[in-house]
Amino acid sequence: MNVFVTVGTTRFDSLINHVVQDPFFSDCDCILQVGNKVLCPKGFDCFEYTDSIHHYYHWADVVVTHGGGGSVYQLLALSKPIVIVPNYDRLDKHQCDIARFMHENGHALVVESLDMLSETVKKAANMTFRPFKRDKFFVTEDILGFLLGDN
Amino acid sequence: MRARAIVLIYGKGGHRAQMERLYARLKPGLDGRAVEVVGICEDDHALKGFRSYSHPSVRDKHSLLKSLVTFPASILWSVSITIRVVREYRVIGVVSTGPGIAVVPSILLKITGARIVFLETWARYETRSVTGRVMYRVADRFYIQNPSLKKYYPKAIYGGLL
Repeated sequence: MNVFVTVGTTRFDSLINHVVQDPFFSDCDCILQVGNKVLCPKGFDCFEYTDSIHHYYHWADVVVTHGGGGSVYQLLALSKPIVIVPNYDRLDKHQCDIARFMHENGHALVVESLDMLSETVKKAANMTFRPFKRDKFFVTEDILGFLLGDN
Repeated sequence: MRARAIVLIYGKGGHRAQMERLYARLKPGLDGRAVEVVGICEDDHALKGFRSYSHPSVRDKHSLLKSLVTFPASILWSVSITIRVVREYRVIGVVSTGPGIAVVPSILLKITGARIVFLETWARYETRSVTGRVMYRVADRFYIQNPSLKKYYPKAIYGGLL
């Protein structure tokens, strides 16, 4: 199984440390985006950032992602099976908001405790998720008109 | 005479991604309108296509202690950047997708007569961001990207998801 782990722009050391120590991830094909070069562990294909993250999204069977909106919405747009791990290393715990919404509506699986991560990844690989449908942004003209004083 | 300008304020990560999408949508409508676009961005995460002033983060995401230093420093930066922008441009509008770096420049630029637009971040469904709570009072137009937020921001305009 191909698993891609992504933490976005904010470090998430506890997730990366867990993935490195859990034999499940060493046994499958796993690539890590870690947000900080210092964290790159031996024996893993790993990088800090990439400009071609879509390449890795497509490659993966399951993506383990932090709960950042940018990553989550891009992955849902690709209909990729995802496991969201809210970044609890942050002082503000806002990532559980989007994670809870996606979980409750059947768009993603969420891991609250890292002990459950490998089990949840296996489960996600064999699951069919409900497609996430968005209302496309429709207030561009409204904003432009207001800024330029037209309305 | 100072050129007319719209100031875009955005952070990194998802905040930046939202502004990238918003700017792509706004740009065609701004071309030919004799208005420049100026950015204020977090650290070195500037978008391409217009000039952005770099602004340090308001809070440290991992350490409260560090935030005690970054918070006041950030206010001084905000004031300094805003003065530089106002010297060079006549700012008619401000648009921000967060985070907290938007607050002080928005308040100052509002005093100078600019119209303030804020979009609460797309990652919120059942909670409000700290910046959103403040900007709800500051902004002339406040947009939400998830309809579930209407109960927390009754006067907000729902605009769909970027």
